[in-house]
Amino acid sequence: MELVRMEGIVKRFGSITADDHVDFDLMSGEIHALLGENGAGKTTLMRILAGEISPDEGKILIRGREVGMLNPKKAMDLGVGIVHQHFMLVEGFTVAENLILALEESLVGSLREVSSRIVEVSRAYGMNLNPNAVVADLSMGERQKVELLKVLCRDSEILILDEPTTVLTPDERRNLFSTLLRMKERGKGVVLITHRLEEIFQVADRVTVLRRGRVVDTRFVDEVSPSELAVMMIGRDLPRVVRPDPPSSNGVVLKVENLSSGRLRNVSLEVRRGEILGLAGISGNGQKELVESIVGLRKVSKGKIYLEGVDVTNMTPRRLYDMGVAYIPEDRVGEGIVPDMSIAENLALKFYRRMGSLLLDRRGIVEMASRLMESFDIKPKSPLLPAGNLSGGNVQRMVCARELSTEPKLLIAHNPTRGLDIAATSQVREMIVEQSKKGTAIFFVSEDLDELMNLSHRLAVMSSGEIVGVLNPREYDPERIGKMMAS
Amino acid sequence: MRLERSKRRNGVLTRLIFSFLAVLVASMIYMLQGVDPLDVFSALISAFTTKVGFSELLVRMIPLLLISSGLALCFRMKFWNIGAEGQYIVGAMAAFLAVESTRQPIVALLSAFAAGAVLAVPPALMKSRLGVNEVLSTLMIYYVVYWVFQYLIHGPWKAREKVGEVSYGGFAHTSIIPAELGTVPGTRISPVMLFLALSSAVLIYFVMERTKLGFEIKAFGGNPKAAEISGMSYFRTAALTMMISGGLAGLAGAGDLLAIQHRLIPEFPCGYGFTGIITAWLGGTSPLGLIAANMFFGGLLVGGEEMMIVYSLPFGAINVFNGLILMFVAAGEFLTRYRAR
Repeated sequence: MELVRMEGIVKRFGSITADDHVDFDLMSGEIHALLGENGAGKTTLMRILAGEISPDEGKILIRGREVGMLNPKKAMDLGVGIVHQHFMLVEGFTVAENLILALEESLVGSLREVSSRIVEVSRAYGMNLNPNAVVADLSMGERQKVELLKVLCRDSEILILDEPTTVLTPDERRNLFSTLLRMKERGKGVVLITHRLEEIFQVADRVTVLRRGRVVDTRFVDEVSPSELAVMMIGRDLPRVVRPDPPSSNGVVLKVENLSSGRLRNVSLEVRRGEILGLAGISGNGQKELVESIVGLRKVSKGKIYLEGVDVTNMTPRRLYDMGVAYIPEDRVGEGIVPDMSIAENLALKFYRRMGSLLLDRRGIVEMASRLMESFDIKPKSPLLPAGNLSGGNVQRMVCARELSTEPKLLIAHNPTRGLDIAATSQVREMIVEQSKKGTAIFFVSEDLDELMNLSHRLAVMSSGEIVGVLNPREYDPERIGKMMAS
Repeated sequence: MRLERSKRRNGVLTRLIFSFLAVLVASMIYMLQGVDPLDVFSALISAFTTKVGFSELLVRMIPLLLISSGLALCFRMKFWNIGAEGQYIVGAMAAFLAVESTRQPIVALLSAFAAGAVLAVPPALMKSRLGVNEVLSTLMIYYVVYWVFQYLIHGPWKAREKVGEVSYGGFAHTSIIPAELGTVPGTRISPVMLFLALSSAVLIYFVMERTKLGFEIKAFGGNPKAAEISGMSYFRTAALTMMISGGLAGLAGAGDLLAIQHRLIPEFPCGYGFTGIITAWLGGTSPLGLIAANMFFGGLLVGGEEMMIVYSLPFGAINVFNGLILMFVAAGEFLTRYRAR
C-alpha cells in the first residue's frame, strides 16, 4: 500500500531553493533511504512531511488522500512520526516521564500504565528500555530508542529518521537496524535520511538520491552499486583518501603521561613525527577532556604532557600555539570561528599578533587572508564577508587554513569531518594526510570508525575516560573496536 | 511559529526611530499628569534651539559622552559594565584630593583617570578567574563607592561653614576646590572637557578598528570560546577594556567637579553612569552615533529639568523617558533582528 506520495514539492529559503519540484513516495513495509550531501534538501523534505515546514508548492497525499496544509499536530494524527538528528529529551526526567511529556493527554494514563506500555512496545521492537532510567544516564543509542518510542507509542505508521546513526557505536547501529527491520515487518513505512552509502545497502529497500534540491533518481537498492550512488550523489567521482605510508623517523612529538583529570583516568599516549594516531570512542567518554587538556583549555590536576620533550602541562593556548600546536575544534562554528567577524579576520585570529605593533596590520591581514583563501579553496573569495555566511565545508576549510598555515609540529583534530558533505570530507581528510606527510604529528579524534581505520597509523580506543587499547592496522576490526568502545 | 535571525544590520536610524516612538509614549504619560504634549516637545526642542538650552545640553553631553564611549567599548566585548557611576564618583574623589594637595587641574584629571581605571579592574579579574558575573560585581562596587562617598562628605571631608567667628554644621558638602578648569564665558562648558569628550568618542573608534586590542575585543564579543582557543587572554582584554572605560568615567567625574560643581555635594552622582548605558547602547562604537545619542539625551535631561520646574512634575518624570527609550530600543533591536515565520 502506498503510505505517502509527495508531488512537485518546492521550498525556497530566500534565494536558496532547498527543494526543487521533488517527488517522493513511501510504501508500507519498506525502508526508503533518502540519500544526499548536506544541504541537498533531505531534511527539509521530511520536515515538510512532518508538518514542521510548509512547502511553497506541491501536494502531499497520505494513504491516497490529499492532506492540504499540514502542521505538526495534524501530521502526527495522520501517523507521521519524525526522529530528529538532535534529540529532544528532558535529561533530568526518566524515560517514562519523557514519554508522558511527548504523548497526548488522551494517551497518557498513570505512570504505571505508561511504564508497562514502554516495556511492551520496546520488547516488540527488540529495544529493551528501562522506563525508570533517567535520560541523563543513558547512552546516545539508548536516548535514540526513547525518541523512537515516542513515535512508536503513538502508533505512527510513517517513521522518519534523520541521520540516526551519527551518534551510535557499531553495535548500537546494528541494533537500530534490526529494530527498523521489525518495523518494516509490521507494515510500517520507514524513511532513513543518510549520507552514508553503506547503511543503504545494509537495510534499505529503495533509495532516492537528492542533489542540490532535485531528485536525481529513485532506485531499488539491489539494482544499484555503491559507486553508482556516490556519483549520483555528488555528480562526479572522488578519490578515496587513504593513510600515507608509516613515517620513517621516530621522534616523539606529543607524549601524554598518566593524565587523570575530571573524567580522564590515567591516560598515556604518544604521537610521533608524521604519524596519524586515531582515537576512537563513543562521544562523551573523555575525548573532549583529553583534547582540551592537550591544547591548554582545561587545567590538568594529575599527569604530564610533553611536546618534543618539553613539559607543557597547563600551558596557555597561546604559548602552545607559539610552540607549534594547531587545533581543529570539534564544534567548528561554536569554537572555531567568530561568525560576526570577516573571513580575513577569522583567518587572522592567531597570526595577527605577529604582524605590526600595537596597531592592527589591516592590509597585511587581508593580503595574507587572500593568499590562504586561494590555496585552501575557500569560497566565496571575498575576504571581507562575515564568516558566519559561509557553508559548513568552507568554514572547515577556513579553520584548516588558519591552523595548518603555520606549519605546526602537532595537529589535534577533533571530529574534523563531522557533518560535512562528501566532497568537503574528502578534502579535509586529504589536508590532514598531506600535513602528516610534511612531518606533522597528528592526533585524530573521530566518531567515524571507517574514517579512523582508513587514515590512522595506529588507533587508540577510549572508553569511560581510559585508553583501553592501541591497535595496529592489522588489528583493525570494527567488531572488536566496537566491543572495546563499549567496555 | 519560529523566530529566525535575519541578516539585516540595525542602523542608527532604526534606533532613532524607536527613540522617537518612546518620546511619543512618554508624552502620553505626561498628558495623564495634565501636561500638554506639545509643551513637552517645545521644552525638549528649546534645549536644542536656545543658547542657554544648548549650552546646558553640552554641559550634560560631556560626561555622558566620556562615560558612554568607554561603555560602548565594554559592550562590544559583551562585558556588561554597569558600574560607570561608581567609576565617575571615584574619579571625582581622586580629582578632589589631587587638586586640594597640588592645585594642578592636570594632575587632578590624571589621578581621576587612574582611579577610575583601577576601580574597573577587579570585575575583570573576578570574571576571568572566578566566573563572577560582571553585572553584579560592577554594580556592587558602585554601591560601595557611593556610600563611601556619602560618608566622606558627611564626615571627614565635610566643610565647616562659618557665620562670623562661629562655625556650624550646615549642609553636607566639601570645601570649595582651590583650582578649576576654565569655562567659556557665559556658560558652564569647559573647552578642555568638551575636547576630551569628543576625542574619547574618536579614540574608541580608533581602538576598535585599528588596534590589536580592538581585534581582541571583537573576537571575545563575537565568540569568547574561539578567542580563547586562538590564544587571546580574556583577563588581559577585559582588564584593558575596563581600564579605558573606568578611566573615561573617572575623567567625567573630575571634569564635573573641576569645571561645574567646584565642590562635592551629596547629589554630585546624578546618574550619568546609568544614562550612559543607554547612550552607549544607542551609539555603539561609532563616534557620530555616540555624539548624536549623547546630545539627544543631554537635550532630554535639560528639557526634563525645565518641565520639572515649569510644570512641577515629579523628579522621577525624566527617568520615565530614559526607561522608555531603553525599552523601545531593546524591543526595536529584537524586532528588526528577528522575524517570525
